[in-house]
Amino acid sequence: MADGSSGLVAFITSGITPLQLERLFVQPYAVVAILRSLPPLARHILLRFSCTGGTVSTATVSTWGGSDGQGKLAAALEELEALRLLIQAACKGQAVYTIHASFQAQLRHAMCSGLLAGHAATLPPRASVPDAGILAAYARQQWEALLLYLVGGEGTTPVAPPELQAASIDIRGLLVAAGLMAKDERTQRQSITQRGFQFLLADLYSQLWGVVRQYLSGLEAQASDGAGGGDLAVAINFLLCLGLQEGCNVMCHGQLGDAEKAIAAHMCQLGLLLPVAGGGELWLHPTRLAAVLAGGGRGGEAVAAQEDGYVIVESNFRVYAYTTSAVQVAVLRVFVRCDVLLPNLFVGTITRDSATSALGLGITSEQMVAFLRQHAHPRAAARVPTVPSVVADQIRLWQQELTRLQMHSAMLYDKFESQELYIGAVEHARQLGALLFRCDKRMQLAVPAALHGAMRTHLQERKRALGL
Amino acid sequence: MVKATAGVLVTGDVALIEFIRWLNESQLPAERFIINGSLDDTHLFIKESKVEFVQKKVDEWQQSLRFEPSAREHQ
Repeated sequence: MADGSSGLVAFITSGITPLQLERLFVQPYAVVAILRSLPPLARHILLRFSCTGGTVSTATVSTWGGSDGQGKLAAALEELEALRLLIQAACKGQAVYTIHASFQAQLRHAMCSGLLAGHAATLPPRASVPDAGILAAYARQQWEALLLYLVGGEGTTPVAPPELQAASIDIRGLLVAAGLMAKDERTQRQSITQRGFQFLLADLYSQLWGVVRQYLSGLEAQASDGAGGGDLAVAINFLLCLGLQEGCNVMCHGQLGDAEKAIAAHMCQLGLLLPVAGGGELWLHPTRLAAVLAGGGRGGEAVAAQEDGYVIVESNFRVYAYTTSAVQVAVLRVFVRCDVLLPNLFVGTITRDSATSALGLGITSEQMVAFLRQHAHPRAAARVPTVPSVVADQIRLWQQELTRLQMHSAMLYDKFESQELYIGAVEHARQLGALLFRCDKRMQLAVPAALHGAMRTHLQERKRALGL
Repeated sequence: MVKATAGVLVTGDVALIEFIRWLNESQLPAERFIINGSLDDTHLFIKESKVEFVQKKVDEWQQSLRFEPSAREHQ
């Protein structure tokens, strides 16, 4: 049960325009995903509607709820109306609810024949199915090419496999649009931003979802320009299809529609699918990355951590990382001082300087500790706590030190004539959200300098009101 | 009439505020920066012109409290 495509479903229900949403109602996987994402009562109402002729009078609908359930029923109906699934109208003098016609048709089809019926019943020949090692290597190669470009700003970005004959995504543009890289106008070189550093330290699911989401937004922008409106709906359906299918995940390239082929090529470029020729056809095999994206970070992460952990942190602040990947070394160097770099081993120390420079980049102590914990070597992961508490606490303390002294440009109000005037002023400041400091004993109050004008007018009015 | 004073509100822990007070005392009377009548255990009101000076002195003080074992010569 892929309830973890929640990132994608949340994007569908809140991130796209209502017009795009309606186009989704003809896609079978989108319909099922939306249904699963709704709360139980709304789901129940939709299922009841799907078994009717499509139109039910408001009076009948209100009898569905008991006397103490009317509030919840009304809330559920409102939610469905907001999603344009139910439309209220007047028919022959009566108020009626009508369910969206194509949604109802897709829902009935899904209920009667199931989701798998639409897709390939044939499987690729056994000999051409790549083993897990090849899939993992391909996924790692494509994804790391992307991350390496993000870190370094030069080098090649991942390209779509040539056999698919489709245009590639502009990875550079995508990273800039996502705010992960910034283009220097003068030198025309791209370099990583603060958000980019935080992206590097995030877990694989957040990274994948961030890139895919930016890709979907790009499609949406293209759609609103008028060039290919159906693409976004097709893309979302395709991604959900990767997630919601439980058995036979392999797709036959020849059986996909044109828009789907383009999207499949883009997913191959990102490393989510591997194209393999077999039996005269081109088959697309989903890799581990597709599983993580569909799994929503919960189930996928546990598997990922077992295989991929490579960092050991000791309580003397030493960090040992068994890795050959340049990306992983680059990410560690953001907050760990490198002492020794061997072909398959990185040895470093977390010092005050390295940690504070990372904190200065905007990375929080929580992110650093979470990164170390997530990528812990299987031997280290067995110990509790995975990251020694001295190290975790010390990074947190270093972060607190940076905010030890706080300064605000402020106005201090002193010598209030009466207690009531002081209390009134404090209340007003609190309402403005501007109370910086108060001392009841000496009747002193401080607010940010920008709000001095507002406070002065308030005080003058209050004084006149109190007759002082 | 309620008196309004412009300045910079400094918030910190007790030890830090005590240090800033000591810093104030050790200045010449003309250079003192704490605006009187606003003192609290964790808050101070200081003149805007002295903000960088106070920040610099606090940073130096924090630096002097740290000890870093010298890094071994590698590369």
